[in-house]
Order: sequence, then C-alpha cells, then structure tokens
Amino acid sequence: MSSNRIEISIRSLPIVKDWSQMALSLFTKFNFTQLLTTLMQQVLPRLIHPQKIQGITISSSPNIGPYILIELDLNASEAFKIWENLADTLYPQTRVPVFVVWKGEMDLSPSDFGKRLAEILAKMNTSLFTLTHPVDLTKELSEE
Amino acid sequence: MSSACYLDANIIIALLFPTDAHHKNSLERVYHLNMQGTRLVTSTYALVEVTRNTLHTISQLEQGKYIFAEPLFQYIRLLQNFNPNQRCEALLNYIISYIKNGFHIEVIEQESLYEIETTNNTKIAKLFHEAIKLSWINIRTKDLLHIAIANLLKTHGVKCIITADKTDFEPIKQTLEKDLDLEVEILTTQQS
Repeated sequence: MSSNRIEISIRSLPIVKDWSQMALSLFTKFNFTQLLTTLMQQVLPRLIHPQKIQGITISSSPNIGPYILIELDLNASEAFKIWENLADTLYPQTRVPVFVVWKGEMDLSPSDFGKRLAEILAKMNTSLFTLTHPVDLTKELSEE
Repeated sequence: MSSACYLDANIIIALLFPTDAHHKNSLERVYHLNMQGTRLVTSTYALVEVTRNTLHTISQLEQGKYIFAEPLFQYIRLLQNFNPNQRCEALLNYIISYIKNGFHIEVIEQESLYEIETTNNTKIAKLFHEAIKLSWINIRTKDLLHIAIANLLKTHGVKCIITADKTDFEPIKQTLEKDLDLEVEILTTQQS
C-alpha cells in the first residue's frame, strides 16, 4: 500500500488474543484498507500535490481509536486549509479522525490557531485534551 | 426568550477532558438539554477559571502528571511553543470555539454587568455589588461570583445553574431555589 511518494505504515493494530479479537482485527484491517483507498484515490489528489505529502500513517490509540495522521510539507496556514477540508469531507464518510501535521512555519496567530484547531476537532468529536488516564479535575478545581 | 442554564466552570472542564470523572455525565446532560432546546450559557468569568485550569494541566506535562494521547500531544507541544501570553490567547480561543461548536454553549457577556453603581460615594461594578448583596449565602467567593452572574443573567433567560461541585452547592441548593428562584442541578458521578 505505498507509492513513490507516500509512505504508509499501519501500526498498533489490535492484538489478537482470541477469535472474537481476531474477527475484530480483520474487520479493522478491512476498514483501514477501504479508508486508505478513499483517501488516496478520491480525496487527497483534489486537495494537494503529492510532492507536498511527507507521509500518511494509519494508526490506532486506546483513547482515540483508529485515526489517520498526514504529514505535509507546508506552512501551518496551508496545512490547516487541507485539514479543514478533510474534516468536512473525509471524516463524515469514515468517522475516523484525521490529523494533519506540518513541517513548515507556524504562520498562524495564536488566536487563529486556537479557534481553527477547535473547529476542526469539534467536527471530529475529538478533544485536544484527551488524556491517557482518568482524572478528576473538577475535584482539583473545587479544592483551589 | 427560551430558557437557559448557566454552566459552572467545572462542567466546561469536564466536557473538555474526556477522561475526567464528570465527563460522561456532563456530556449526557448537555446533549439532553441541547435536544430539549434549552440554551446553555456560561460567562467570561467561567472562561478565566477554565483557561487557567487547562493551562495549569498543560504546564504539568513535563512532570508527567498528565499524559496526552497521541497524536494530540503534538498540538499541545505547539501550544507550548507560544510565549505565555500567546499560549493563554490560543487556549482561550480554543475553548470558546470548542464549547460553541461541540456543545452549543454560548459565552455571554453583558455590558450591564459592569455598569457603575454608587454606594457610600464609592463606585462599584454592578456584578460585584450583586455578589456583595448575595454574600449572606454561605459559599466561597469564587462560587458566589458565579451565582451573582447567573442571577443577573436571568434577563437572558437563565433559570438554573448546573455544577459538578456537590460539596459547595449541595448545602445552598434549597436557598438558591427558594430565595433567588434559581434551580441548582448538581451532576454527580457514581463515586461522588
């Protein structure tokens, strides 16, 4: 699943412990393949020149579930335009959050960065403040 | 004007942090109220608490107290790359947009809250005057300010306060409902 320009790795897939897990794993792999095909053939070529794509990683995290990470050779403002488009077009089809990182400069103002990041993440039902462990910040706040 | 509920800062924080003990309850309640057509509002004062608390959480990243999930960690790092004032500004804008787009929570600010009143030849903003007038309520100052704001925002349809702070609000719940006509809804977890 790779081309000359796009490196794709599939990692952190569910560990198969029993048959039901195995079925889940196969199902997930199938979905990932579908997802990747959609991404590569239908969505990305319309948005960005392939040379600007540094890599695509499809991964899975216990806290977020499966997700796509796209690395772009662009500045932040250009990368955000692509990301906003992907959140509007790809996410509704796949329900898999897509994240964009960029190699270029951070050319967004802090307020613009915060606002646009929130708009994108809210569309994908993903919180920036997803921790890997339980917390009781409410309790900490009440104790201040 | 449709009725509205005022959200305490702790509910906003619980909504922002998916692994918080109150997240699930807060999310369910907020979705239910959205479905019912009840407006959800909060104040800029609550935003101060939420931003400060969130920033405090992020700043403890290095100590390893809080670990952010991949790949979100990378965006937290970008926030950290801003200078302290810029970081606060970025966070403030993040929080306003996220609660608006994710949960339809409106941040309300009213010039009337800051109208200058006079008592004993001393100028005092209406909001603080209101808090002082309500200081017979046995609660900490920071919570008293939320109550004063919610009471003044009745003109915006506010009829209730939703909080996760059982310790401080449970003892005064009946007082607020009887004397201020402000319903108090305390969201609890199975543990609390």
